[in-house]
Amino acid sequence: MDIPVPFILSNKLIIMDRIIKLLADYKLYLFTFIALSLLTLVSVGLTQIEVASKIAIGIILFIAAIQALILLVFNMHLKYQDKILAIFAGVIFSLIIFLIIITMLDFGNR
Amino acid sequence: MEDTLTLTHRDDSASRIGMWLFIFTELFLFAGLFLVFTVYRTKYHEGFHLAARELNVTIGTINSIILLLSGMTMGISYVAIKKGKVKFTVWMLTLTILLGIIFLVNKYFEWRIKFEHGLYPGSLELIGLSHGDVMFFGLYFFMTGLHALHLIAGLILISIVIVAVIHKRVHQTKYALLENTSLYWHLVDLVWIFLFPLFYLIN
Repeated sequence: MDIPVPFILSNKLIIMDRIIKLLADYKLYLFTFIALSLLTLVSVGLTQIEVASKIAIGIILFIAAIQALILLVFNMHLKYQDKILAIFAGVIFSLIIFLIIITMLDFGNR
Repeated sequence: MEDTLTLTHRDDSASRIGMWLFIFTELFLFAGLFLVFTVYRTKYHEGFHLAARELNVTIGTINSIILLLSGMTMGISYVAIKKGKVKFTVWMLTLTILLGIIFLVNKYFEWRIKFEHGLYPGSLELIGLSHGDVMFFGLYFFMTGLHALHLIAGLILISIVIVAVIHKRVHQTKYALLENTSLYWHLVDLVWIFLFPLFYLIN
């Protein structure tokens, strides 16, 4: 049985339907934005509470690394690209981390 | 009359790999600067600790959210062009430019406050402070300035993409320019993700 829907209500339903479709199409970017923003706020929050300095620095840098990973994998589409690009990115980041570690080890032993 | 045949070669995959190679070189550039920052932070721990307190965490946080939001609008424009939604793509790209400009305006006010307080490289006030302060603000202006230059380059690129989309040189089946610009814009985001905690949060 067809129940007639008032014009205003049907218009609202169409708009709602469009919004739902829009969110479904672009949800990947919406979710990554929410995740990245929340992680940023967690980092800022950490500086407001009393946590031992070295632990706080470690956690903040770990959060930054997770944010970078989210950005690379989803926003920069490494997940959907040729595997060789993901391997390249992995090697580059490993090299950078290695470079920082050996420099700091050398610096610490002077 | 002789017919002429024009062949154009297009390799989107090669163009994407080229963009990634460029991004890798940029990552090494900033990694070198992060390394310099880490070494001097270890050497002048106290000076860096005190100097970092001069930075406004609230402005830094707002700018971070603005930049992340611009990353989202850029990503949405990429999906929109693939779906053939030209108007929506242009709107999203325009919004990305606006957010980028808001970021730069915030940065301008932040820098201006530092200049008013004489906390800029070469100023008499800064020379009078400890070596740690001099190094911190030197690196702060250089690294955030270099990041801002990258952002300005990104804004110019996005403007070019908008014109290309309007003139149908970038469309549903030919969107490599938009995709590569989007990758570049996310690189700007990626660099800020590390700049923000290093300068504003770790003190």
